[in-house]
Amino acid sequence: MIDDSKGVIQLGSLTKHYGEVVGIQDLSLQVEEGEVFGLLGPNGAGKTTTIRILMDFIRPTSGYAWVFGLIPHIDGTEIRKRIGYLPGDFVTYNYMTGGAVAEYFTHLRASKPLKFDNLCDRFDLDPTRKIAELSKGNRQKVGLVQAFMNDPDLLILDEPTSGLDPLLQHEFQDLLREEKAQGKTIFLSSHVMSEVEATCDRVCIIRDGELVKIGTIADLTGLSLWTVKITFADAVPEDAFDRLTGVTVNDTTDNTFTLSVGGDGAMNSVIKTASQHQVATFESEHASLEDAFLQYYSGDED
Amino acid sequence: MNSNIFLKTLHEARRLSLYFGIVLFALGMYVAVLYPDVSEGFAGMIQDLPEFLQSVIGDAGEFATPEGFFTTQPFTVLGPAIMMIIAINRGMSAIAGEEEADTLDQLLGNPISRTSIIVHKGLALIVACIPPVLFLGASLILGSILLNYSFSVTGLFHMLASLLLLAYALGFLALGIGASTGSKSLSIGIPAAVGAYGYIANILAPQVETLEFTKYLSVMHYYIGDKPFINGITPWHALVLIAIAVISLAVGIYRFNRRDLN
Repeated sequence: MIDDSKGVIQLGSLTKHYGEVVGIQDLSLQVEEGEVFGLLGPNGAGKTTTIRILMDFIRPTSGYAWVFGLIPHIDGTEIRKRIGYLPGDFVTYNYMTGGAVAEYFTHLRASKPLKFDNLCDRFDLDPTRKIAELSKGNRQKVGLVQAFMNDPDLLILDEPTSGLDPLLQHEFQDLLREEKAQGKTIFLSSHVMSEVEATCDRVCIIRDGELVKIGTIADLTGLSLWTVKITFADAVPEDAFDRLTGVTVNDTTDNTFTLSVGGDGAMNSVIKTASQHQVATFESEHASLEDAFLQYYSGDED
Repeated sequence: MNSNIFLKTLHEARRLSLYFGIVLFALGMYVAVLYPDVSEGFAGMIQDLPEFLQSVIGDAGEFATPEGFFTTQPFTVLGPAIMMIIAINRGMSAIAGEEEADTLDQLLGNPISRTSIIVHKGLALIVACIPPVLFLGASLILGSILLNYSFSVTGLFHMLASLLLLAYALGFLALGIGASTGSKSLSIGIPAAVGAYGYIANILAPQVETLEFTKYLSVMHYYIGDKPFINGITPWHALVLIAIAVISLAVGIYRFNRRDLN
């Protein structure tokens, strides 16, 4: 039932303003079926705004969002039949038990909680306890269980591991991989780089509501960013690396240059330039997504 | 209770309905037991009071019959006040309450339309107001049986129906405002102000000739102005109350479907 050309999610110049405040601006991206897609950005970057438009909680100022080729504003009910959703700040009815919340939502979905017991076991959640009695982490588990339990085609998860301990974060990552193996599409937001790096096929970095970079983890880290530290035996002009495309000079002290190197041919030009001098040591380190993220976020990527 | 929004919402209202139902039952019993004494003793005394106070308490002549006495108490002050509290509370909690508690996102994450949420919650509001009104009616009937006097049950039915319509008018006003704005304080404040104004206008309008027209702006006038217990419900008065409820609901649905959730 998916129009392939539109992917599972497609955003086109999606823009949301809250009065004078920009939520997101001209965001365009496409998420394909079976993909784990991460929306990465600091707090206030527009991640939740994007997700709330997909869920039809808020309406775009301009541009469009399609989910399963449908428009949330028009076919929200149809779309949400196929979505498991975890809000950024999972809050639910305090007087109910986790199991009752799950039962309620399952009825509303006219569905079956196929994975409920299994998920409770995995996340070590006691479904007979009242929400009010649960810690933040345990409430988040209820949120995760209800998002996954009805076996939806698309999972939209806003900061899914917030409040979970490292063990459960790991369990969650395993769960994502299993869902992906079953062909599920997952759209998650996070500001935790390692989580995105461990689970996502592709990542979109957003800053102040605008798209900064989109690509696979390899695109964002392997190809585009290395940290290079070169120490020279002779005196080298301080501006030796300044004019190279894709190279940022982070630090220059005592003939030691620390560079961020990214983009096609950038490493080659660094080596060529360095070889014109007496190189004492040459170290290069693969940048993590965190480095890439900080680099992109600080706006130095060009 | 968790099989749909209507039943869950009703379940959440059960204590409110029960507790206020008990209060209304006690109030009704008190008034019903008081009636035989009042009809003999107080009528003359009230006749001597200034006209202003009479309109607060009720005309002296009204105290001669149970229908007239009950119109004054419990149906002029405490009865409607308690029903307003119940209805406004339920109307407020329907959308604005869930929205401010941050549970609305979660609810709407399910494949249900915004309209269907309002419809379910509105139905729950309608049903939740019925038991307290029945408690009140039952207490009056029981009291009259215990003390061996009788009154028009048809009149009581009209009075209770009018009381329900008053509750629905303000309850749906609260629901409509909550759905339109997402604000609990507006959702409570505006209907409460409308209700309070209703009381004041209902007391003052008969006193000051130039202000008499203001009674038409009072929900209390449409609820009890024509004394439904004695005269039966006045159809157009009932229609005004129903119209307030229906228009509030319609505006609420329209606005809720078009606005961003908070």
